[in-house]
Amino acid sequence: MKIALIGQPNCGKSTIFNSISGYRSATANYPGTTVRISSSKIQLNGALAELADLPGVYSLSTSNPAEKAAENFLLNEGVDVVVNVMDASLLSRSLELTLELRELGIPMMVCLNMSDEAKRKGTIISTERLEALLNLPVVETVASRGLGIRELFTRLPRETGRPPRQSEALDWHRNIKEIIERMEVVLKGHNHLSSRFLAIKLLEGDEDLLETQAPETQALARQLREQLQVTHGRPAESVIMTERHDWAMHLFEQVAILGKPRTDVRESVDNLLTHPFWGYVFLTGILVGVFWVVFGFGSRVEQVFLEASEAWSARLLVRMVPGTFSYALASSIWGGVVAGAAIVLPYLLPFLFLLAFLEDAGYLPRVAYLTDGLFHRIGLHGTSTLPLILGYGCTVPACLATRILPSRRDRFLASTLATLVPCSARSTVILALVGFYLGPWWALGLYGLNAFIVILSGWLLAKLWPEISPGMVLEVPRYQWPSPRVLTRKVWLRLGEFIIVSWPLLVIGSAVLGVAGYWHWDRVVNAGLSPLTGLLGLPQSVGTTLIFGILRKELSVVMLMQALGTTHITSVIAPGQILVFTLFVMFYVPCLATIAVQVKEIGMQLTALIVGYTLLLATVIGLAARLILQLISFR
Amino acid sequence: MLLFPSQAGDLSTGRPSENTENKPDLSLDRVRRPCRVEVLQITGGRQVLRTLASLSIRPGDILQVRRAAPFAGPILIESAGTKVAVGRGMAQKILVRMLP
Repeated sequence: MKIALIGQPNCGKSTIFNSISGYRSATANYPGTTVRISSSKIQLNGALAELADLPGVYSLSTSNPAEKAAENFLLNEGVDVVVNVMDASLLSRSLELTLELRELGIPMMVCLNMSDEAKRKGTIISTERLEALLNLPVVETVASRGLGIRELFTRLPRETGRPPRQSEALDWHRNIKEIIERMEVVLKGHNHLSSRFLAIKLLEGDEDLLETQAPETQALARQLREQLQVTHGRPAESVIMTERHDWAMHLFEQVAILGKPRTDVRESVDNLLTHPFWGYVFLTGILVGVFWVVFGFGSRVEQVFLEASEAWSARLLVRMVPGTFSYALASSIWGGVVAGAAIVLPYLLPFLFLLAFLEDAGYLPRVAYLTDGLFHRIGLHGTSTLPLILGYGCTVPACLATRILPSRRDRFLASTLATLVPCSARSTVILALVGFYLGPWWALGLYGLNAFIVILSGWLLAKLWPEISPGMVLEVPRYQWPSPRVLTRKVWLRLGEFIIVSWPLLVIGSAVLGVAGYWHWDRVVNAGLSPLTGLLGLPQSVGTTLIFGILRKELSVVMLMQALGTTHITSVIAPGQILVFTLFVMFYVPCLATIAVQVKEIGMQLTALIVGYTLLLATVIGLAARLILQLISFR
Repeated sequence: MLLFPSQAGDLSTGRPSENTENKPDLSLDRVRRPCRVEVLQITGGRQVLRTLASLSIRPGDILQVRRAAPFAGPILIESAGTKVAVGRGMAQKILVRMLP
């Protein structure tokens, strides 16, 4: 049995999904968190079922790739039961999608989620009445606290095999109905989709579905659309949309009692955080605050861990003879283990935690609101800020998040800029090298410089590929106090990625470099890269680390220590060189995982363009930094 | 892009315009202070109409304008309990009438 969770963006589909299948689908408080379909095998009354979590859709006429994916899944993947999740506090709006889904003829259940929010807003919804009017089972839930989930999934199996029954309350206006029926006649039995659904879609002018039809059907659709336009005085899709809207309003009035909303402190908070002056003060404060917490925590822990690891390595390696193969291997493996624990984890952990907090609280859409004006000046729109902020976490989900942007050009621009933003791995390089050895102000300065370069690149790229951006329309959700349980699980999910994938790679990479160094293979690579390292004024031995950095960005700092043969970096290279190295690492070539995702999302050519651009940018900036530092004789 | 260039006006509610002489229609981007407005007409393609409609912004809807972001930023409105940030370019396409 195949079950699909579908609903409007940010209504809690993924939260429901996670409460059944463990924390596997990232959740956050902004529309468009889920851009990929995740599915999971679950046990339902002893039978195995597949539960799919679809990206949010406002309606079944989609505009961006994430929504398209959800629609395609629903139409073509043989879904047995649809669970229509809705935000109860936005009932009238959500019902429009429900009415559209009904027409699919797939057995269906309605999940009235966030019913606590509705109550807070003073809206009392009668589940029984809604159930009777829709002629569909309705279950009330508060997914964030796990309420009602059990009931939802116990009732679910009973619904399979029962397509939505006709409801007397919901019938099209007579002359619209006639037209739909005339369209339906030619569609019966020709398609795996419900003929009613197909007929309505064709009348609404769905281009994709129209193309798949026979020429006579297309002609009929056009003729009937014209007829609707003549009789109603406006375009056919507008007629159908309005009808659905009227039903939704009508249903809402019948099932909901509007009371007085409780005073909500969140309103005052929001007034402050979106204020034309204080909003920016808080934005800057929050970003700088995150930096100081991450750096303050990370650098202290790094210090303690590095000292401890020296004592340990002395004990571990005491029996081995320096200069032998086994010593080279053992010490490099140990180096990889230490690097993960001492250099990456101390910064990664607080950072992931704070980012998760901001995501779940619902702050990110506010950032988009505040920065849209600025982004618009450089030719992008504010929705692009979401991928950019996510880029501080990891570039891969940031590139995936560009799916919420409607145009290919905007997706390319946002992907390029998200690549330039230092991800958490590159942040560890910035913090553990520049912050640790040169001081936090230098590190903060690098973030500032980075932001400037990102804006400059955005402006430049927008000039090179001009297109009038359709402009932002972004839902700004309510604030939510993040649940500690969800936060912990989310941080754990992302941390797991580091522990399972990156850390072993760190150890392997470190070992490879150690062995290569023992046999002097690294000299070949270093010699090959010497024009670049020479140009940047870096020691030749740094060359290999840059290659490893393409695998995983964390590797560049770890490998730096391995290549230089010490954790006391300043004894080997000058602060100026650290700065140039970090600048180069901050911008050059995205990591392999990012490249793979970009090829899939925006194609080979544009990805090659990003790789070339970032390499050029990194070299130019690195060289400029070197020259400037020489000029001011910074050592 | 206008999908129905010749019938752009038909996208409105179809009601006779209640526009009074002293309160001219204006596009949403020109409303820069908190107030209530009624959407009269949206000029734009099918996709624009859809996107806005799904967020409860369509002819006849009453919007509460919350505030406008500086630097020619978006307008923050509330409609049917949903807060929406509408970018400047999009706001230009929404023709509204100020309500007292």
